[in-house]
Amino acid sequence: MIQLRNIERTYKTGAGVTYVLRRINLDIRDGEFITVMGPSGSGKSTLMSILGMLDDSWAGEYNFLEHEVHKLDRKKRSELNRKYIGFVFQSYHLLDNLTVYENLDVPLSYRNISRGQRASMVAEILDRFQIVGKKDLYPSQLSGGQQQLVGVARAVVGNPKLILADEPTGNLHSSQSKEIMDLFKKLNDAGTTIIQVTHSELNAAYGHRTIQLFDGWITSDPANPQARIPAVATP
Amino acid sequence: METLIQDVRYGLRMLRKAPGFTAVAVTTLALGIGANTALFSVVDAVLLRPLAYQQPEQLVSVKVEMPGINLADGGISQPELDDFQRRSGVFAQVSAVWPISANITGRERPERVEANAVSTSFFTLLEAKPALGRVFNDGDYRPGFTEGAVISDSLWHKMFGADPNVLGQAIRLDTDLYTIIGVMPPEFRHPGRTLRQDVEIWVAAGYAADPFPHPPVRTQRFIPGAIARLQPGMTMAQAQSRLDAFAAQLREQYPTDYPATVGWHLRLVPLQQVVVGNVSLMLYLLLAAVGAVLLIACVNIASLLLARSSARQREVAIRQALGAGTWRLIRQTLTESVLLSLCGGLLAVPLTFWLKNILLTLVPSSLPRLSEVAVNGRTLLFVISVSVITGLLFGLAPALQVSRWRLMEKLNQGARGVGMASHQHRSLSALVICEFALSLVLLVSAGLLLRSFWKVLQVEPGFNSDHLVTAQFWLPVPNDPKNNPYPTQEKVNVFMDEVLRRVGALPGVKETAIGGGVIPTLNTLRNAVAFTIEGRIGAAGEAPTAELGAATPNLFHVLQTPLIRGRVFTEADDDKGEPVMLIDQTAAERYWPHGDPVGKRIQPQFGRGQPLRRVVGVVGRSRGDGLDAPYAPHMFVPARQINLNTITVYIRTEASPEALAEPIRRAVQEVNPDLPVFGVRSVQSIISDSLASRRFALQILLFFAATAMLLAAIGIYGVMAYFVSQRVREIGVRMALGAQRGDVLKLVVRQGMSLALVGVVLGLVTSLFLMRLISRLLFGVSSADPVTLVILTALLAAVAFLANYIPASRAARIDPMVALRHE
Ligand SMILES: Nc1ncnc2c1ncn2[C@@H]1O[C@H](COP(=O)(O)OP(=O)(O)O)[C@@H](O)[C@H]1O
Ligand SMILES: [Mg+2]
Repeated sequence: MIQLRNIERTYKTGAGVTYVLRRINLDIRDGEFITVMGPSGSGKSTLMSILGMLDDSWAGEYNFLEHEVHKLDRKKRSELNRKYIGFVFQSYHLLDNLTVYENLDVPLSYRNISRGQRASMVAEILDRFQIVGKKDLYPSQLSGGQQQLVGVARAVVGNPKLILADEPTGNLHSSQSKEIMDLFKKLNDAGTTIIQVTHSELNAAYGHRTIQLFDGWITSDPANPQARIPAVATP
Repeated sequence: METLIQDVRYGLRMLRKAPGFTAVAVTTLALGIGANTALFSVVDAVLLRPLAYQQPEQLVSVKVEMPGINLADGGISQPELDDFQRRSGVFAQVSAVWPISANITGRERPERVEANAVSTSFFTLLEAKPALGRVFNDGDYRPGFTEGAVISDSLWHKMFGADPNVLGQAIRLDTDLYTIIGVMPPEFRHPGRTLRQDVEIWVAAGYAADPFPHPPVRTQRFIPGAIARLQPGMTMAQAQSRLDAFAAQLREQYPTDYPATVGWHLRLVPLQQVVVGNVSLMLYLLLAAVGAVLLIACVNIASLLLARSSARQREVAIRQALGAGTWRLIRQTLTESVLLSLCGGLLAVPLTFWLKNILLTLVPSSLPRLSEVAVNGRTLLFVISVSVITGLLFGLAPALQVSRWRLMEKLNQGARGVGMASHQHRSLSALVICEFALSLVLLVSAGLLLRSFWKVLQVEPGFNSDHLVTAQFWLPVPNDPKNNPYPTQEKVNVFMDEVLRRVGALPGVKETAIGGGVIPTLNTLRNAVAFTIEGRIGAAGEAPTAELGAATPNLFHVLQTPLIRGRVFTEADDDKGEPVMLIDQTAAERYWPHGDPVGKRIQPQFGRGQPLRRVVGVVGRSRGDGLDAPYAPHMFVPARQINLNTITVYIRTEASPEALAEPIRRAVQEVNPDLPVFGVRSVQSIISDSLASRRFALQILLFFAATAMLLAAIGIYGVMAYFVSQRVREIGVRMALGAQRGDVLKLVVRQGMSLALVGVVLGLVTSLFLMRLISRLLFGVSSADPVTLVILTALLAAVAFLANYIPASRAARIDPMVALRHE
């Protein structure tokens, strides 16, 4: 499903350029549940943004399904994002002024879907996540676990092939965490590819494969034994 | 008190800490308050301050109305004037007021002066004191003109070099000898209509001997107006009802002089209203407009404060934790905003002087009481009150916000969402909506005035003003017929021929003609004369009237006013020929709606022994009373058959009026060295002047409306930019969820435009109501003119769109990666 070849990501800073991702090579098959781990600042979120088509300022080759993403423009990438990808965030990022129902409708509103169909899709997802009773509440009226439940529901509502979850349980208690992770497991069992970032070994255990990032390099990938930090980082 | 000082000190510190904001706010306020104050100083002088006479509320103007013959301001006869004084029981004193032109001779150069014929009671009625000498008293009374004359301060300077020994000096006014008995102080101004300028000399008459008809006749209503002082303690309403009864009594006593169908009655108008004339609506409109601009500026500052105050939420929370009550916090906020606006007000004071002077250069000089415009204690009081009120106004929104925070804190506990506090959102939205509503109202009023002005310019005047120049002089009307240099029509005709010959020979002059009395070239002089139509008896009630003028044979040819039927005058229509007359289309349509007036004979009711005159033709109508005034019926007598005293020479020429002025003066004075020539002007400049007050209101209002629109645009821009800054994270989330840049653009523009459009609709509805109030200022356009409304709505919407587009496109450029990090 995903092939990254020599992906590089730099930021221009006052002094010069800082490398955030270096020569990333990564293959992900359809239906996999991948965990990305690594210390803070190692480039995990940056990687997720590139995978999720939010970022354009990288170099290298990125093949997604049958698409050569590196050759696509912003519009096409945005289309891929809408069609295939769902995001879950550490701080939920629900929209304050919208109800649960409206929050779930947001991703659908950016797809070319009729109003009636959108309503039935939202109704279905409310039902599936058993949050029908909360559909008219505002995010501020929900607990953290409930908010993230809505966050996941929102990622799933458009039937994505790939879910990108950046520390989805980072702000939750362990019991709430487990609930969310079980949910991911269920989604994965149903065929959705999942890539999660986490600091928790417990959460990582849900996945099939764990990739380690360090200072922008992939230092460990069970599918790619050559991945390692070079002895001397080339400038 | 101590807490107030504390609040003030703290407020000043906060203002100093945000110098950029403070500078912008104070400058905006200073300009807004300054403009308001400058306009207020004009309105105050013209409208609000009472007239500078003793007990001005007792002073009235007596208007004669004859609705039966469409006459709103008829004349008064000597017996009637006498009756007002002696029999009505309403007035303490009554005086005639009669604006006249006169020639002063006997000095180096003959001068044309603005004179006024009054009664001997005139000055005592006003309780006006002279600066030098004395005013008229009862002992001066003569049936004809008195020997004494009172002059104005300006004439005293102009003609007598402010000579303190002016009293007792003799002057010739229209060749009659007068003695100067008094000089009025500079601040004394004649209360009421004048011909061309402030009155320079007052003479008094009894109106019952030469040069007036004698013995007096009740129906010869040649005195154009009267002013009076009410009996002590009498109110306007009481006076009016007594006068109504008195008028009824007169109508009963003299049924033939007051035919029932004419509807002769008397109406009292406060003198103040007469002096101010019809400028009050215009001035109030401008004051309202400048007030609205200040209000919009307030809204902008309020929204800046509101946006800023959310940054100070933490400070407020800490103060609350330290025990500050809500009221205390509100007071602190209000203290700050009032401080801000007082700073603006302080800066506005010097600005006011400057703005007032600019205003005075724009104001039409015909505006009454202009010399009384001054920046004084009242103006300063105005500055202070406006400052405090504005400060409270724009401080209100942030203050209310402060009072809400505590509540919100509880509600928002544990919230970890994206977006902004909705009540703040609501207040800012409401402010933007108000701004747009107000701006549209201003735009519509300016638009309607603009359309009216355009319509006025489109009006066909009925003559060709291109390259047309006029010059005027005044044939004297001495009180003693023996002094008259032109006692016979023949002498007048010789004089006119000679003038025409000499002026016609001047270089650049193509054609010349003479007109007298009311000639249809925007002459605001009114000279309505009643006439009877031969063979139409019994219908005495409909006594027709028309403005009376005189014309030489080629006048209408020079004016290029068409002849509709019959013929114009010929050289044969002179003092020896048959008495003839021309009427204009309006007169023909009004008085001969079904027949042909040509060949009919009519008898104008002026002077004594006017013959029956045969109507020989009908000429096209002209906008005689101004381009925006309704048509009035006119009739013309051959200039060779009547002496109308005010003689206007019409010159079709290639030369400029400036170049012609001196040659014309010389040409006339070669014929008669005692005749001053005045008013050498192009007719186009006369037309332009007649539009001065319309143009003034338009200019000012356009300026205010543009300012309002600009402020509204800046306002919505600022608020939307603030909204966007509050929504960065939300926008990042939406992008991660599939929103494209176009979607983000739409999101922001839609939010901004919905505010603007709600405002515009609100403004539209308000305009529909308010514009009816100014319908009197409009011309040829309805107060709900759809074209104006549609165009301006579209314009304001387009401006709103542009103002929204900038923050929206900035929002669309937000990098979702950065936005999502934004905590
Ligand atoms: N806009 C930016 N400008 C400069 N450096 C950035 C920017 N965003 C992220 N970085 C840097 O990129 C590195 C990787 O960040 P990130 O991908 O968020 O790491 P992680 O998610 O693993 O904590 C960090 O060192 C961070 O400082
Ligand atoms: Mg991260």
